Amino acid sequence: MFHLPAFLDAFPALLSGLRVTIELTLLVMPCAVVVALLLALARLYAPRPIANLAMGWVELWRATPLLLQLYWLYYVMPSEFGILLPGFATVAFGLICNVSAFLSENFRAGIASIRAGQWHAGRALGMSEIQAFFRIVMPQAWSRVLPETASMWVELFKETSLVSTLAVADLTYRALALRTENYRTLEVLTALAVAYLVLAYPQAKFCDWLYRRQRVHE
Amino acid sequence: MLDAFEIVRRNLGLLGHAFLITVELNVASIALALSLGALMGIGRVYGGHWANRALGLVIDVVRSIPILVIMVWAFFGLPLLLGLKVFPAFIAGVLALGLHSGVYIAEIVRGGLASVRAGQMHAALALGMSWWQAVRRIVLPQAAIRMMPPLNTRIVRNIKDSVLASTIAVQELFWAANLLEGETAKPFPIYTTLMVFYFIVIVLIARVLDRTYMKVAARGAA
Repeated sequence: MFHLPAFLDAFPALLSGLRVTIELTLLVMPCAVVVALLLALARLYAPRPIANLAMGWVELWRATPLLLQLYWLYYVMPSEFGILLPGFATVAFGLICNVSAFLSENFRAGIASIRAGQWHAGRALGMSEIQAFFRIVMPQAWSRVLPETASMWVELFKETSLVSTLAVADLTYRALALRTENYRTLEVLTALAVAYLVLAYPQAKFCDWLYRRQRVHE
Repeated sequence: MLDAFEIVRRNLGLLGHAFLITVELNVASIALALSLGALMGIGRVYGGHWANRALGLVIDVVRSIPILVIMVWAFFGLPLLLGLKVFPAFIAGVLALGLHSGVYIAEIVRGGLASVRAGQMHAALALGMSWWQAVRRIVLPQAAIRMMPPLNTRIVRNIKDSVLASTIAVQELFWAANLLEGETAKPFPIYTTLMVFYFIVIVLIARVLDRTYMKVAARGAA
């Protein structure tokens, strides 16, 4: 019933999709980290109206389903605002907005967890506010937010699968297309699951290790 | 805006039905996830070395596969594996969501149980309670309160993930939205309305869950 050759043959066909999945992850994550840092800083240090605006923006992206966000961007941007982007750019933009919203909460908590005395010490040594932030606060905050950020990376890697519903030819899209070509549904879909498993499992284990290593003892 | 009202008014029957399916899908999958999570979590903490290892592996495997892939596999692959001719999409959706949320909940349960100090268990056993009594009456109530914040996050996450069931033709809200979009070619009012709907529902549910936790939080303090 389970045809092993069909299962094995599926993997080469999935490779081109894997490239898109990896490209998407590699493009989105660094952009999301930068945007998330800006959002976190806006919420912590910007004047009230800007901080509230940033909070509303973050909530909007956190409290709605990702698939709906991607569909909204994909269908509404061209029809209402005349913005015609390629599918890849649209979903990359959506993923950046979504991931940065979640990351910004993590960053905000991490920065806020650094005691005020650290700032004061930096200032007392003659550093400017900005120097104290980048040289004293951020390095400490970074090691605290690192595990969550790594988890978010794995999460993003898996969530890129949603772009297959919008005709972006990622790993999942390739598998679903192959299924309709050769009708080896069980074998192709199992190969797809195994492909994600082999790629994401080491990443997830690495995250667990980071959590153990970076645990804060105060 | 007028478009949105008009489209909703004309399709009240369809949307009402889709809303019910969304609720049923979430209630069923969250119930499954909580039961699975509790069983697996308890199994990892109290089941001995090998049960812990085996369950850990199952959890890591499911955690590494995207929910969309699990869902598609459950709908198209599982019936082939089981030799079933008819397999309702709704069941596949519940199984996929329940399993996916369940393994995350298992880790939450494990963490919660492990956070209750061993002395609590020893004290309960010393008072003559059976192992099961001690777990149920001493360890679980304390652990349950500590598990609430991550559990709440997971429940909200399950609701958001449930729109993926539209890809296997479960006739829930997002499926209905796509259907209406196809009929009317008006993506803006349709998707925006659904976005606002989910935003309000999710913020409300998150708030209620958070309030519930705040009321009992003190009793879970170590």
